[in-house]
Amino acid sequence: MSVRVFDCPQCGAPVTLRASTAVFAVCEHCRSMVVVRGSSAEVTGVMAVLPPDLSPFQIGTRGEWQGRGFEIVGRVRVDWEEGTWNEWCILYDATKTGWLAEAQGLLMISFATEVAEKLPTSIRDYLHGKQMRLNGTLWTVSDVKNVTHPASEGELPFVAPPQQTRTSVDLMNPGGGFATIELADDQAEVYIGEYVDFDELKFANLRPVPGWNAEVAQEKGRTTALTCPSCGGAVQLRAAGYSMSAVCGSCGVVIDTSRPEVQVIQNADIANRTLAPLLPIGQRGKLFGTDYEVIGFVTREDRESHWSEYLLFNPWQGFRWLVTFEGHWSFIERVPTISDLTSNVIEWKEHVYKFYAKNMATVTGVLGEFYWKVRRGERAEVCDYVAPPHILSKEVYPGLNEFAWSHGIYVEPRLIAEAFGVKLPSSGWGVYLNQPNPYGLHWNEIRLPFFAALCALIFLQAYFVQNRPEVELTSAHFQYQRPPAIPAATTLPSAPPAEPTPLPSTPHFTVTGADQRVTIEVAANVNNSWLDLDLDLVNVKTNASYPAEVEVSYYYGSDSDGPWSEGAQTATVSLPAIPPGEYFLTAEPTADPQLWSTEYSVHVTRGGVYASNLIVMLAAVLFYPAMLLWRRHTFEQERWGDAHGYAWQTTDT
Amino acid sequence: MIRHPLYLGICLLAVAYLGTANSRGWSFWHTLGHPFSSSGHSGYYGGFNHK
Repeated sequence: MSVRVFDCPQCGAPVTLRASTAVFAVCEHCRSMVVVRGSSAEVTGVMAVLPPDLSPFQIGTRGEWQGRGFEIVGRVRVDWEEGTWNEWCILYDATKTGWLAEAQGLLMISFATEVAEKLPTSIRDYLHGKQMRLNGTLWTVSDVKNVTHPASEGELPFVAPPQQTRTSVDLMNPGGGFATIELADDQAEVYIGEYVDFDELKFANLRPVPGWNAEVAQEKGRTTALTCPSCGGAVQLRAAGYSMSAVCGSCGVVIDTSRPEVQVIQNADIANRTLAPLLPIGQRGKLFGTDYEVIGFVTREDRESHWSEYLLFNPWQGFRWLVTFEGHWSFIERVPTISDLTSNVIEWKEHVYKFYAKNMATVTGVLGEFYWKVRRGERAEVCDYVAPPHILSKEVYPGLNEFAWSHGIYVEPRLIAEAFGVKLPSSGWGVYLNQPNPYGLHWNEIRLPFFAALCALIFLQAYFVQNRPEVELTSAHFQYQRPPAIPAATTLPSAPPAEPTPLPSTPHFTVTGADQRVTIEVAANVNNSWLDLDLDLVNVKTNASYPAEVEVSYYYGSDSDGPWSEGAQTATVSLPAIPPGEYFLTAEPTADPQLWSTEYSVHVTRGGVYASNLIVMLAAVLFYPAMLLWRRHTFEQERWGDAHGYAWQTTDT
Repeated sequence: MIRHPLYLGICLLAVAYLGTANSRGWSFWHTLGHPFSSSGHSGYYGGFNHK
């Protein structure tokens, strides 16, 4: 870096040029515009005083971008029909001149770049939305405006007389790239760079911001005051230098704050006086680790709904929005352009956004101050895409020949209430378009244990089916014979008691191993009749008995519908948890009175597992997930009930 | 912090129950009917025609 020092031709004070490309400087002492030609310097006039602002940057501020340092060496205040912004001239890596643009709370870094393509130099060739290539890369024109440079400071690589008008064409590409084409004197100069975050530039030697830094806290909340041209009341600006319009708190007119000569943009409206923001203008709160001050309040409506938006300001992070509708809140920030849409789905930063709705929104009320010249009745076409809790919105301003993208995230009302110290309803009404689906979140949280439990249950069942096979213990065949009817007269009081009839029973058999299931299968030759067996599994040693009952019934025939049958000639019953030991089984029959005799058999096995255990445990594990999935479905149905022409079910994942 | 502790408990209980029930020959429905008896037997055999 070769520093050049000249004496100001007007006052003699030293004028320092650090960049080799610098040809213009403003004397720090007398504000003379010094033009450098070779080794000589001449004064071409006096530069206007820069209006006060809350920019955190100053000449001498250092930063880092892409691993190399830079220093701010100059500034141009750029003015256009709807407002102003700062272009900070930087000396990058001590050798290269670049620009740090500070506009509407966004930061862009760019450098003069030679392009292979021949570019048109007429403003008529740059229409909003036009696509063009710069060094082979496709760019989209996002903004076209005529600008002037009313004031500047420090050193610049070009002469910046305040009266000179240029055309500034902004371009964007889907990768977050930023480019500007400056048209002047039949020349097209191209600057290419990208959008950057304040934090990633690692700034040092920033300017203390009045009202925000402790050392200048005495100015808190009272940065700049204007006089209302309508009523003469004082209008306090909370984001001086950024605010392009403000509403007079006394008379309600909307005034242009972008220029020293304050003018009325819009007269007062009776309806405006009834606005009652939940977050008072001037209230500060910490959201997501950053302090913000509420500086503006807008109410908007479309054909279907009416909502409110709060403009938040932080001198270092820029502007954010809080949008609220029926108790739901979203935290919104502007983002670079999103790629041109060819479908209803946008993929952006690892999220898939689905088109939700497109409406024409109208501003119905304004309070506070804004970074553009807001007016009641201002209309914008708003397109919403959602990936709850995220939302992407595209606003197209038909009158301004520009569009803006913003990204938002749903915020619980409790966080807003805590941050700004206000009382708010704990939850919103109904389902909001980007409200996270609580049932979906719960499902995601239990998905892992659910599938783990499901696999474990199936594995356990399969394991025991494999390792606990059914083993035959015994079989026995019996003959049922209906007992003869005993007439009462044949029973003699003196007759000896009848010998007990032995119950049909199986031979003894042994159940080995641990406690286990014993299954008894009964087969009987019944036809259009039934046979009922009272079973008793008896432990020979302990006499403990395990009763069971089983009925075999089988009926068949034919009617007008054809042949039919009901039941079967076999039936099964299981006895659970039978301890090991020696057993026999008794089977006392009872039969259809019409049945004279029949053969029946019992077949006894041990082992095996109950399928019902698995079914009941699966039901226990499945119940909660099934309920969550159903509630998730109904929640999404309610969310998408108001969407415009997009069948969410077809792509819902 | 453990999320959904009740559901996690149900999952663990279901797996533990199925393993135990299958190894001991339990039937869930039978256990419901005889909650205080592991074997389910109802008495002692009284011999033939004890009824």
